[in-house]
Amino acid sequence: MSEQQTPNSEETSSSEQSTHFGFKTVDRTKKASMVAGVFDSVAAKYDVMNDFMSMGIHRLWKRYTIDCSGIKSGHKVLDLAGGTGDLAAKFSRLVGPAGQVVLADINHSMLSVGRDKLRDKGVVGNVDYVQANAEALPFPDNHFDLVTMAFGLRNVTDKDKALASIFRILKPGGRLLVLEFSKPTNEMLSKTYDWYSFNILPTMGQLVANDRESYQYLAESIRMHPDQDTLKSMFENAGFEHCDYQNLTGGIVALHRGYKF
Amino acid sequence: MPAVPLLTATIETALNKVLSLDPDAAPKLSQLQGKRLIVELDDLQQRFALVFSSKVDVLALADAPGPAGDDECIIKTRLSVLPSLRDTSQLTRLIKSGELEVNGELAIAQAFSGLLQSLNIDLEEQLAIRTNDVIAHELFGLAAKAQAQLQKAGRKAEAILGSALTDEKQLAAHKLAVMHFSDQVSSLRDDAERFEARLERLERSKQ
Repeated sequence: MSEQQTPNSEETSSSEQSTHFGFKTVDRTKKASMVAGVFDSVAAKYDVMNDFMSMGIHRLWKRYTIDCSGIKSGHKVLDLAGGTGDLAAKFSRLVGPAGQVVLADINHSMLSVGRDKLRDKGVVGNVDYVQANAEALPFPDNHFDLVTMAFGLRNVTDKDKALASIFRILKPGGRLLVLEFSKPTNEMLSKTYDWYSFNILPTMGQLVANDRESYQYLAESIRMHPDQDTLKSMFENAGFEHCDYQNLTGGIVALHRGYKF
Repeated sequence: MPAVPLLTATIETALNKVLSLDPDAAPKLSQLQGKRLIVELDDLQQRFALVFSSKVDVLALADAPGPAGDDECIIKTRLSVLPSLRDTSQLTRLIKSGELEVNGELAIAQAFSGLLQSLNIDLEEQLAIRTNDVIAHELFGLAAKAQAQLQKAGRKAEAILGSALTDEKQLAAHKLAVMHFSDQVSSLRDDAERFEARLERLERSKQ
């Protein structure tokens, strides 16, 4: 673990032209395509691997996110980096026919898997699919009541730009929920989690998805993601108010919440 | 592990599974489509929302729900009162006693309660889908016989225990003795009332 960089080194990088991709430093312009390569590779096995890696707990983290969403019938929701549509499927029922859910992802493979999955489940009518970059969202100002981003922000090259873009499209009174891997609060848990991430996770990726590198990137990208308080500051810098976060499973994951007033 | 999401996930899965076993439940559920039933439990300090669509979604609301909107019913009560809500004739009494607070469309809560009470699940049919008709019929026949035997054995044990307690060990009074005692108490009460009436009459005549 000694080779790890400090979290949020993206912002403190010596060069404005570079960013991190896991533990590697790469040209900023190349990160998006490298992340796309990872998700093109894992899209087909994404759900299976999520269940396998987290022992199904990711479903409970997502349920908690929905519990904190304040969602009502008729609301407009953007599920950003929505991947295979776990949140969007539930939001579709909760907002009803009068509401709207947009499942957006920068990655075409993930979006295709999500769209097929939701259609197979009969989730149709109030769900739209948009391939979009979180840093430049193609939606009007003050449009959504709720934006959620589950396990997506750490893959974004310029997180501040993405948060500003989300702030723009939220209605006054709307809220942003970011569910993301974070920093365990307990030293013992942290060590166990590191061992699991760097030894078990890539092996699981190799065995189940025949892709060790993508899951090595997953473990590395989690360590490079800003910690709870740093991300909260980034929310506030983007203009969000009443920002807070809730650690889940000892801080392995945190749910950040911010409002636009 | 987040305990509350695990609880709501379990309730939601169980509820939807039970509803799916009754073919008549779907049309009744469709009458509730788009409506929300929010249950605030004071003792647990939790708010649960049941959101009705083609299925029932169960949420543990993190925020206070605010005033009830259209197509919403908010019930505020305690966990121990929930079973009483099945009997709709009790609602007025519970509201008057302050044990139940209802905001919004009460018909939603009544419709959901009615939906649960009207569930008619043919378990033999469900088993037959997974095995076959003969096996399901035989198993349910055996289960019915076992149940009858158990009930018979229970009644017999009850009679033996009663006899032992009243006749052999004389630890409890026999049914006839209890009835006789009750009759004596009633007779004594009548005598006392008559005596009280005569005494009052005498006191009035002295005055």
